[in-house]
Amino acid sequence: MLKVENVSGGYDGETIVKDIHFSVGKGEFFGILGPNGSGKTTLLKMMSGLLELEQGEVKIDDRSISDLTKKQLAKKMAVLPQLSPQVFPYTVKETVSLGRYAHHRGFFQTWTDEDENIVQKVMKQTNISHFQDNSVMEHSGGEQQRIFLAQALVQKPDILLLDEPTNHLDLAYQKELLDLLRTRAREEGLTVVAILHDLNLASLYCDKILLMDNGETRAVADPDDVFSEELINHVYQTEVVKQPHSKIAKPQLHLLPGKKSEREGEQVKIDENMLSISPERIVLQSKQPLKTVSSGVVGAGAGWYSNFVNRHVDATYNCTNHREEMREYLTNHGFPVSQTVGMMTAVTLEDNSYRVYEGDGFSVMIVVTAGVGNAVDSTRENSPVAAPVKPGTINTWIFVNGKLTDEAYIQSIITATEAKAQVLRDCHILDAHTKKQATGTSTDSILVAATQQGKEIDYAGTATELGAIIGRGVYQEMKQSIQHYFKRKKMHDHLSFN
Amino acid sequence: MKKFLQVLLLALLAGFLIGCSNNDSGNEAAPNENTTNEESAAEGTDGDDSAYPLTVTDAIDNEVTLEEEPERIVSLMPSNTEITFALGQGDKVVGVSDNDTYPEEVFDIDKVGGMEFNVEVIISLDPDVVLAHESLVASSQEALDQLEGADIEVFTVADATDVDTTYETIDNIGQVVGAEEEAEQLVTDMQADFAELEEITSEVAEEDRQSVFFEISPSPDIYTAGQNTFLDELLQIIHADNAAGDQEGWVEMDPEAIIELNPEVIISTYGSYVEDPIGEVTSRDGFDAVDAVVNERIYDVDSDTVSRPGPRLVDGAREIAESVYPELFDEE
Amino acid sequence: MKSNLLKYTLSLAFLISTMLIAISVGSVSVPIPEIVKIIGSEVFHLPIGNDVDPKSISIVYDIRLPRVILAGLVGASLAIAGAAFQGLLRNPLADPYILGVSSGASVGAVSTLFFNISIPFLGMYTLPFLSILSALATIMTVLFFAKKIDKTMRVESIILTGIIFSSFLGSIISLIIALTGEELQQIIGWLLGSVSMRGWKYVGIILPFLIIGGLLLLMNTRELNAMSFGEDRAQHLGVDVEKRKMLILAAGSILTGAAVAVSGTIGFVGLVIPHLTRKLWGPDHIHLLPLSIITGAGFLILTDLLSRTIISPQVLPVGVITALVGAPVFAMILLKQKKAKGR
Repeated sequence: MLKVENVSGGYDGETIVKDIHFSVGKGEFFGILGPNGSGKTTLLKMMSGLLELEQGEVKIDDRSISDLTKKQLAKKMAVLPQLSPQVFPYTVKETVSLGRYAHHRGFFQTWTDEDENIVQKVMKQTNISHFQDNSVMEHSGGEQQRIFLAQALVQKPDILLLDEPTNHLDLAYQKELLDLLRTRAREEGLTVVAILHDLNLASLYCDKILLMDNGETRAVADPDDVFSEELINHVYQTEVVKQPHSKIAKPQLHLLPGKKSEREGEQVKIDENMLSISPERIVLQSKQPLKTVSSGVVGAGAGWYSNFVNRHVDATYNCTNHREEMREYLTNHGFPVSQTVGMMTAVTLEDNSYRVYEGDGFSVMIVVTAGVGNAVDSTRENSPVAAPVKPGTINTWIFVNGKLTDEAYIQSIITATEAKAQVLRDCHILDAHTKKQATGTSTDSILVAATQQGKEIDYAGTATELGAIIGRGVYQEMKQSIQHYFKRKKMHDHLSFN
Repeated sequence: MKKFLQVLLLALLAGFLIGCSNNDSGNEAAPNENTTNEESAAEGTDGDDSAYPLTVTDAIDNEVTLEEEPERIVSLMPSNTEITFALGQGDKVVGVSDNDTYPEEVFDIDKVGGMEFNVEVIISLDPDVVLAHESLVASSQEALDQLEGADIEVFTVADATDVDTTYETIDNIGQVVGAEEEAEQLVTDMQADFAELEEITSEVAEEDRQSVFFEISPSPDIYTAGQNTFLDELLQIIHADNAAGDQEGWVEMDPEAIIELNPEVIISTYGSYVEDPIGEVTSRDGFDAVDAVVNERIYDVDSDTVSRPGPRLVDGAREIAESVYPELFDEE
Repeated sequence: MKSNLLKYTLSLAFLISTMLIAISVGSVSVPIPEIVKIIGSEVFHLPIGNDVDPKSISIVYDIRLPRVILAGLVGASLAIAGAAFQGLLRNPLADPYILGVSSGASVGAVSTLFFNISIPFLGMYTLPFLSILSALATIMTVLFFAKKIDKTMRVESIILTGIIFSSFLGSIISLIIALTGEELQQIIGWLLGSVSMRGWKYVGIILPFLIIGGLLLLMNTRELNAMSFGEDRAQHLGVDVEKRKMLILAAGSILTGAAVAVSGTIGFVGLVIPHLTRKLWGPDHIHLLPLSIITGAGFLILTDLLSRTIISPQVLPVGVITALVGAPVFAMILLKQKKAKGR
């Protein structure tokens, strides 16, 4: 469709764009990215025929654009430039209608029904027909952007070039505009080439991305390949972190504000003194938020949290919307929901067990509350849909005073889970239903939180020191907690028998 | 006409000769102040009851004091120059304006500038008196002040717009340059000449009075002279009517109105810079309905003689009279 | 949306009524039936009868009629050129003189008067001929320099070069005025602008330029629409910007040069009329240009009528009247615009 072949050029003999080479297929959404001054707009001007090429060729359907007349080019390619102030009060419809210029011939061509239909249709699609008789000048930047998009679309182009189309647009308009473009690309085969400066938006919408730096190509590939942390860090000269989008399969990049030392903030070390234990709840409050991966009722998933609450609920606790109830509970007790990971257990909280384990340059604190009334074998078939809630949940908290990678988090959970299974086996706890060895309870929760300060720890498999400590620590604390549980249970049974 | 010219030429020649002799003695005397005094006292024609030191009040109420008869005069206005020459004092004139064209001698005299005169040149000429003009005061006040600051006496001559005031300015200049008797004589001569013209033209019967339209500038922007201009006054003297007599001063006329006025004679004053002034008028669209064009009564006069308030106004009046009433002069 | 019919009807009504008034009113008033007779006899050689004063014939047919028509043609030329320049330069305050065309034409005319040039064959056409010639030479030089300064010939570069040339040529005019003697009156009169005493010949001089220039501009109305959104935008829409820009500049300069050549520099028409027309009827050049022609013609006929009737039989320079009428109108437009924006 569109081919840019070894293109170089610039202004007044100064070469700004150097040897750019790529091609865009029909219906593709192609993004051009790069820091300010990297030559994006210059390249776009050369592609749209505004600027002469020093070298190379821009081809549409294998014909060089320099062989096309201005009108022929305008029928194939439309451009949505950055907004510039308007001087004359043209109406919206007059403005949009100008897009039909290239389709007219002769000096005094009249306006045909076809022109009118196309204009009306496009105005409807871009949602501007209800103010078509107003002056363009009366409208906001977002509306003007839509008006000029309509002007470009009535050209009926195969290719649409856009220069930072989302500039000055509200979040909703950015999405609306890009959605519209993507729909056009997918459904009508419009080839879209857009300069974008928001990397994350580009990642969400572009099929392919050209990353430019200093007028040169750094990468032409799909977003996942272009957005490597090293490449972006190098091109944009700033530190970013790549993360998957939490809802869709697109990478997102996150900036890290300030300098490294500023980001770490106040040093914090998690230890036993920070725990406060009451029959109603176990709480740990950190001055600095900890990067946490958890399966709590509130604050589940990955995030940064500074309050950790393990709440005791009555064995008869039954609530249709336990998340909402938990949020209310936290709020009522002065824990901001957005900064808190909350878990529930029916286990008597005195059956807890915790301890700090020192490693080489790091330390780990493990807190466990365990009850095995609901112990199950995770491998059994035909799990019961809803077992009666008995006080039987194992909640495991692992706090690491160190800096963990994503892998280390996951490996920590694996290691802790393996340790749990071992504890249950050693304690001969069986699935009440199948009478087989239990691997856990039906409602276990786990939390791995790290200060992200100090020593960098890449892995937490059992072969590593961290893995070893977690495995041993979880084993020991959980076993102790279960023993507390049994002791109380026996006492309780004994008492009740008597 | 011929006779008049002869008189004029004689007068000029006389003036020129006197000028030469004066000039010679002046040049010799210049280096020594004492001798100058002696000589001027000795040869001074009106020396017996010498008016110097002389204090006179000029047109803008400045008191001008002259210690002795001025020997070096700068004139900033052509009319001042013409009067000074007519008074026989032309040899004392050491500087004139760029616009001076009369008499011939002025072309050999240093120029001191036109609309804006050059103060440095004037000072370097070391004049005893500068003859300024009332019409210059508005535009050149600063320059005149500078001259006074350089201890140069500046006498401002009134801006005459009629013949009587012109006589007064002649008297004033005569007083300042030490030629009072000559001034008296000049005025008397002019009065006599005007009287003669008036007498000749008084023969014109009331029904034969011609209506005359003056054109000061050519088409398309035709300016004419209304009341309170020399041209209007000269027409009165020679018993002719000003077609634009309802207007005041110098005005641009609507060409339609000129056709409607239908003058019997058109007199232009722009012949000095328009190649064919008569053709200019006759070739105009629509003017073929005007009597002056139909009867080919279009003339051009020298604008200087009818606009400079000096001795040549008589010449101008005579030229106009001869154009308007040629029959009266042919008979002579 | 105002209907196009209304736009044109009102504008034409304005033009026709100013023409009728201007032909019948003047220093000498001629009754309308007599005017009809005069025109009938002069144009169609109808018998006229003896009751019409031959002076009236001269006044109406030789002086007033050509004057009114010339005023109309000059007003039309300046207004359409102004409208085109404003659109092309994206500047609603541009006028046809902004590129130095009028200064160029003036230098030609003033030099003709100053040096008393008269080319054989041309005779009294020497002045308009040299004037148009130097106007064209000026615009060509301006464009040449603009191209030297900036290869892409952005409007900013053209305006800048135009302003430089305007002031340079203006100083040459001042120099000539300073050196001039008796021709001063003539030169000043010419610079103030007037359509007086030009006659039918001048109507014949300007008419072909108005037709050529006007047609060229009318063929570029949609391009002007596109270019008033910026040159890049216009090119993206398919306009051959470089070619069209040259055409429009050349046409506007021809119109301005011819107008200045026959009538001197009459200000404000080329600025106020397009602006007013745009305010009244919208910025679409397809209608703006023809409507500017009509309104500009009517406006200059009206102001010329005022210039020769206010203190009749004396006349005032028409340029003074256009400024006296135009400036307050313009101020009102700007104030109204500001109020509307302040809402």
